[in-house]
Amino acid sequence: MNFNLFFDKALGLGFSKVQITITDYCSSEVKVSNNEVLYDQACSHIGYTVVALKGNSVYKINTDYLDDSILKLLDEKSTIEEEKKEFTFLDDTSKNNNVDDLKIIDIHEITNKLKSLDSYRDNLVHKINSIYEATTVIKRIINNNGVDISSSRTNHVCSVELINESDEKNTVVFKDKLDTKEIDVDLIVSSLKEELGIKINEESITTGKYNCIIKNNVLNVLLGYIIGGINAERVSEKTTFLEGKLNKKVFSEKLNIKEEPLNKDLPGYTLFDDEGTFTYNKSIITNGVLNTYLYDKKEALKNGCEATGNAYGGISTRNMYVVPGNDNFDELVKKVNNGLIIDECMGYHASVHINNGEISLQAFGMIIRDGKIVSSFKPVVMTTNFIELLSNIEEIGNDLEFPHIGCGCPSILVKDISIASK
Amino acid sequence: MDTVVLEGIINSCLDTGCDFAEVFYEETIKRNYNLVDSKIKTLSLVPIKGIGIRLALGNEVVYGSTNKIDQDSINELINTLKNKFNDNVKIANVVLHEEVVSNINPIKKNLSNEEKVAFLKNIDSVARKFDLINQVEAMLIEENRNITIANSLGKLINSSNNHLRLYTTIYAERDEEKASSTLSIGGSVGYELFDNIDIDKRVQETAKNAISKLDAKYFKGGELPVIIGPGFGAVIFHEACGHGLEATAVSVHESVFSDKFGERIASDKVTLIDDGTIANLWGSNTIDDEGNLTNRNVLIKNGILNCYLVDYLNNRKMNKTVNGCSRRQDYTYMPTSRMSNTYLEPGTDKIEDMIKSIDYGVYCKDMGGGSVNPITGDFNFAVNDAYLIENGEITDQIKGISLIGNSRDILMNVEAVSDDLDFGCGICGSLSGGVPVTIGQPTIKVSKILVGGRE
Repeated sequence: MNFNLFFDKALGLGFSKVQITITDYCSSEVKVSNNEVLYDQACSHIGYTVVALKGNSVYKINTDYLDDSILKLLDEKSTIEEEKKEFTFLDDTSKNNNVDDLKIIDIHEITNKLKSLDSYRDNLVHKINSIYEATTVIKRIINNNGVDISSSRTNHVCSVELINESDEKNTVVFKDKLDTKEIDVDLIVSSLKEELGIKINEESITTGKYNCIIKNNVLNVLLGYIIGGINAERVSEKTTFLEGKLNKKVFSEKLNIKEEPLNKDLPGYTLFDDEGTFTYNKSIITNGVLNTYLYDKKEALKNGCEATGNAYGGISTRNMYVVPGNDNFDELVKKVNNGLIIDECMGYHASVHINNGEISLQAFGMIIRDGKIVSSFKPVVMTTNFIELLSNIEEIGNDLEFPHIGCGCPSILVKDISIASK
Repeated sequence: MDTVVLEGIINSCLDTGCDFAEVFYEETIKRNYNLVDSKIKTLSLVPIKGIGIRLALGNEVVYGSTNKIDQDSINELINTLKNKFNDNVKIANVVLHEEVVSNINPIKKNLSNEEKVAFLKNIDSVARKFDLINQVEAMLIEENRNITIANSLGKLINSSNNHLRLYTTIYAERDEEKASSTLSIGGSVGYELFDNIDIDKRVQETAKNAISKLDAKYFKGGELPVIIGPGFGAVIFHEACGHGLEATAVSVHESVFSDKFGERIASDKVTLIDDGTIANLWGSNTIDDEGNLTNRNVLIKNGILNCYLVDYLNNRKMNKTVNGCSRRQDYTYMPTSRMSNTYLEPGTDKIEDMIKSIDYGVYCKDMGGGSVNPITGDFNFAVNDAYLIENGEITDQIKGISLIGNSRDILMNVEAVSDDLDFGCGICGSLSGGVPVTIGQPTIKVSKILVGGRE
C-alpha cells in the first residue's frame, strides 16, 4: 500500500491531516473433542482506521481496505455528521518502534497436546472439549506529519470444557485462560475435574439473601460493563449510572481498580492506543472513590482535559484490574462459612443495564456449608445492582486472572445478595 | 471474483487430498446513522471485503480467512490450509456451473441522506415532547451484503441482500431514578419498511413506557405462572429449543435434543417453524451461506420433534437432509447451522382467559435477549416490560427481573397459545458470529417458570 499516495489524494479532497492506524492480526486455532480434531482455523486480517481532518472537525472510518472509495466515504461523512469532533494528530516524527520477535506456535504440537487430554476421561468425565488459539497483533500508526510508530504482542487463549452426561442432566464445567506464553492445559483439566466431581451433585436452595463469593471470571465480565460505565462519551450522554460520580465514593473502600497498559507481563500490554495517545498506568478507583472517566481525544477536547490513552475502536481499557487482596480462595470459602459460590452467569448482554446499574442474571455455582464446599445448586437468578454489589464487598481474594486483554479480576466475597430459586 | 480464479483456488485446494473445498467471497458495506443529543453524532461506515476458504476430509474441517485478496496472499492461505491434510496427491478438475436465483428480498425504496437525517430527528423530537425524557438514541442501521460461493461440488452462486433496522432507545430520568425503553423495527428490505407503520405513535408508546418504568417496583422472585406477550417474547423458543435443534450442537451430541428425533419434547400446543424464505423479513435470505436455497423447516409439530437445522458438513455426522440454514456473520467465520425466522404457530386460546386463570403470576409484555447452554439445556432471557397478575387481573409494573429454565421441561409447560402472532428482530450470537434473526409468537401462557427478582 502506498500510503503517501493515499495522503496526497486525501489532501486533494480538502482534508488537511490524515492518520492511519493499521492492525495486522494473525491467528491459529484448533478445537479438539476427546481425541478428534473438530476444526483447525487460520486467520490473517489487516484492518485500517483512517482519521482525516477537514475544516475544524475530524472524520473517522474503520475499513478492510484502502482505496479511493474510502476517501469518498470520508467525504460523505463530512456532509452528514453534525457533531464537531476535534483531534490532536501525532506530530513527533521520531520513530518509536517496539515490535518484538513474534513466536510462531507449532499448531501440530498443540493439537497433539489437546488430543492427549483424552486420557483424563473416566466414569466422571465423559467428554473433553478444548480450544487453543494463538494470536499475534502488530499495530502501526502513520500520518502525513511523518509519524510512523509500531507495537506488537502475542497471546495464547485456551478454553477447556469437561462434560458429565446422565439421563437426568448434563453437567458442564469450563475454564477460559489467557496468557502471554504457552498455557499448561493439564493443569486446567486437573482443577476442572475436581470441580466436576462436586458439581454433579445438585441441591435446591431457597429464595433469599446470601453471602456469596463472586468468582473472578464472573466479576471480570461485570467489570467489563463498568468500563462502559466510565466511558466519557456515555457520561456526557447521561446514559450511565456513574454520571456525576467523579471524585465521589461510589463503592466499598476495599475496592481499588487500576489500569496498567505498560505492564509487559500482562496480556494487554501496549505503548499507545489506536489514536496514538501514549498509554500510562493509572488508578481508576481508589478506596471506592472514582478518580477518572476514560477519554479518547474527542471527549478529552470536549471536556477540556487530556486523553487517557483508552481509544481502542471505542473507549476501552488494556490491563485494567481489581487490585487483589491477601486471601486465597480456600480462605474466602472459610470466611463465608455458609453461603454460595457464584462461578458462572448467563444472560449478561440482556440483563446487565449500565444505564441504571441493574443486574439480573441466571447464576450457577456451589453451596458452602460450615466453611466447606459441599455441592452445586440448581440454577437461580441473582438480582442486584452495581452499587449494591460493589459496596457490599467484605473481602477480596488474591486469585487475580486476566481472561482477556481488557481487564482482570480476583474473586470477591460480598454479603446479602438476592437469590431467587424454585 | 472471476470464475477461472475460483476454479483455480478450488482445484488447488483439492490436490492434497481433502474431499470438499469451498470459497466464500464477500463485499459488504454497513452504514449506521446515529443520532444522540438531538444531532447526528456519527455516520458510521464499515466497508468489508475478504475471502474465507473451507476444506474438509471426512469430518475434519479446516478454515482460513483473509482480507488480503491479492493472489500471493490467497496462495499463502491455501498452502497453510491444505498442508493440514497429508493424503495422496490427486489432480482435481472441478468446473463451476453458475446458478441464478431470483432475490426473495427485493428493495423498493431508498431515502436520501437528508431524508434519513430528518426521519431520525423527528423521532427525537416526538420523544422529547415528554417531560421526563432526558436522552434519545436513534439509529438507522443499513447493510448491503454481496457474496459469492463456489465449491468442489461445482456450485457457483452469487447473492445480494439488504438489511435495514431502526433501533431507538429512549431514556427517562427523575431524581436518581433512571429507566429506558427500546423500539426496534427491521427487515431485509428498503425504506418501504416504514410505509405502513405509524412511527410517531410507536415512539410515543416507547417514551411513555420508559417513563412508567420509573415507578416500577421490585418484586420477590419465585416459580410462577407467566404470560409472555407476542413478538419478541418468542425468545423463549429461540433459547429453550432453537439452538438445541441446530446441527452444530446435535451432531456432536451436545444438545439435550440430540437423540429425541420423533419424540415429544413440548406440549401439543407447540408447533415451531424456522422459515428463511419469508420475503423481506429480517432473518430472510435467498440462499444460505453454503449457497443452498433457504427453506421452511417445521422443527416441532404439535409437540413432536420433527426436524433439525442441518448444514452440509454436520450432515456428514447426522445423515439428515441439508435444509438451507447454514449462516455466518461474515467471511471471517466458518458457516454452521443457524436459525433465521423462527416462530410459533398461532393457537386458539384467548388472552383474557389466560389472565383470568392466574391468581398470582407475571405478565411479560416485552422481552429482551437471552442465552442458552445447549449441552445442559439451561437458558435465560431478560424481561423489558413486566406486570404482576393478581387474582386474574394485571396490576403493578415490576422491574429488575429475568426468567430462567431448562429446555428439558419448560416446553412441556406451554399451556395456552393465542392467535395474535407478531414478530420481533434481533441479532443472534453463536459460533458463526452475529446474524440477523426474527423471532415470533402469539401470546402464550407458561404454567410455571422461575422468575428472578429482589425485594
